[in-house]
Amino acid sequence: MTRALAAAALLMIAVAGCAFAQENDPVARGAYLVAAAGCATCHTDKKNGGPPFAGGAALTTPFGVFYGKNITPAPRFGIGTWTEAQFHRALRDGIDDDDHYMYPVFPFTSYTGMTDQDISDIYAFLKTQKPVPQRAKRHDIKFPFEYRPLLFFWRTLFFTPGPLDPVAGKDAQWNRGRYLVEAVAHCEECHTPRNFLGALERDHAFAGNPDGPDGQKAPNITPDPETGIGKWSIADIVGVLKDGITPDGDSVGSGMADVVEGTGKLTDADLQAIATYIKSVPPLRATGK
Amino acid sequence: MRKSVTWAAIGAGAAAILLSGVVTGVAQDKMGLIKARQDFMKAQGKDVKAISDYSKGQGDKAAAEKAVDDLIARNPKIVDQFPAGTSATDFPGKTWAKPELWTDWDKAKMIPDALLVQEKKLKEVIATGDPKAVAAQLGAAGKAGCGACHNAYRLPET
Repeated sequence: MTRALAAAALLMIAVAGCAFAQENDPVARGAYLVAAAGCATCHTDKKNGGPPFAGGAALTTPFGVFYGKNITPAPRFGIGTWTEAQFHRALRDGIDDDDHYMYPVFPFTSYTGMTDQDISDIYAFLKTQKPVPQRAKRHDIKFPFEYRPLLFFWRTLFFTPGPLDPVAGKDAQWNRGRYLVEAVAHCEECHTPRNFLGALERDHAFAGNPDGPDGQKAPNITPDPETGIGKWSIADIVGVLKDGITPDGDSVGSGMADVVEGTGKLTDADLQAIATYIKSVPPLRATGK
Repeated sequence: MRKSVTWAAIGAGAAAILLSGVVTGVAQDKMGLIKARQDFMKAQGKDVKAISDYSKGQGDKAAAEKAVDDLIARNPKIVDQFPAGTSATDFPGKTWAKPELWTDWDKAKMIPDALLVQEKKLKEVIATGDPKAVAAQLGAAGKAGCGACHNAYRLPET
């Protein structure tokens, strides 16, 4: 009985507050999810005018420089030969079509929380993209991290496959917000500090990362009134996600601007849900303060 | 022999002091310019906030009208806020303007013109008295106008 309820709640989460979920078109739903998940930020080389999803610009981390793969349906160099099951396994389990462990630079650690339906919709959308027969750049990984079998240990310590279960006793809007934040938009992956092995320090979730992607600082987005966004209203958070304008009239730049390219396409209901969830996480002092 | 060495030493010392004074003076001037730029941008932000408040049904129309006029008046001065030698590489931790802004100068200096187009549109929309439309145009201006510079040329503050 509880399982049925959980399944129903899960379904509700996937549809709650999202106009597009009533779309009978998986490709349209997939397009929406791709905007929320920010795939283009890593998989499109916008800086150099690269074709959509054909491979991204460099992402510098303490473990080396990584390049988002070509996820167009090109049979060579893209994911054209991937079955839907393989695509699911990549997002759910972080394993590629060659059965290799993927580097958690690809945030499967968050995407694992997505529902099967949402992963299928993303797959459907990507299949409609223009195939680009262009190999993405090879990662430039520091020794010894290019030895992929080491990821087995990393995964044992730090990775729990999903999907994300709804929290009983919380309303649909909060659960929808939690789903979007934790599983899709993966805010934690930038806004949470990482340990020396590059894993998220989840007890400091959202407290900011002074050494974020490309060495950029990602601020504290917990409701701490002094070092976080405690003074922001729901409307303020929605405002930033919609058009990149902060409550003091600033315009977000760099990494967050890329995020806003995607979140700017979400419905007001979903943005409200995200803001509601973010306002509810434990307030923490900014990392390093 | 000793006398000329002494004089040479004094001369070198004086030159060093003078030069360091000049260098420090120049650095202080540049810091002053950076501070002025930051104050300029804060003023921009205040005006954006006034318009944003109005668009959310909080502020009043008159304030939004004055704010957009201020933004339009300030627009021609934006380029002057970015003299050479005031990047984040020159003054790390004091400013977050990427050096690319100067290497891409021909492209970057055109951005205020694009912003002005958005600001003028914003003025028209504010005049209609429709906060929702103002929100939409503010968003567009934020992305295509402010964003054109901030996204490409501004590092997050540390």
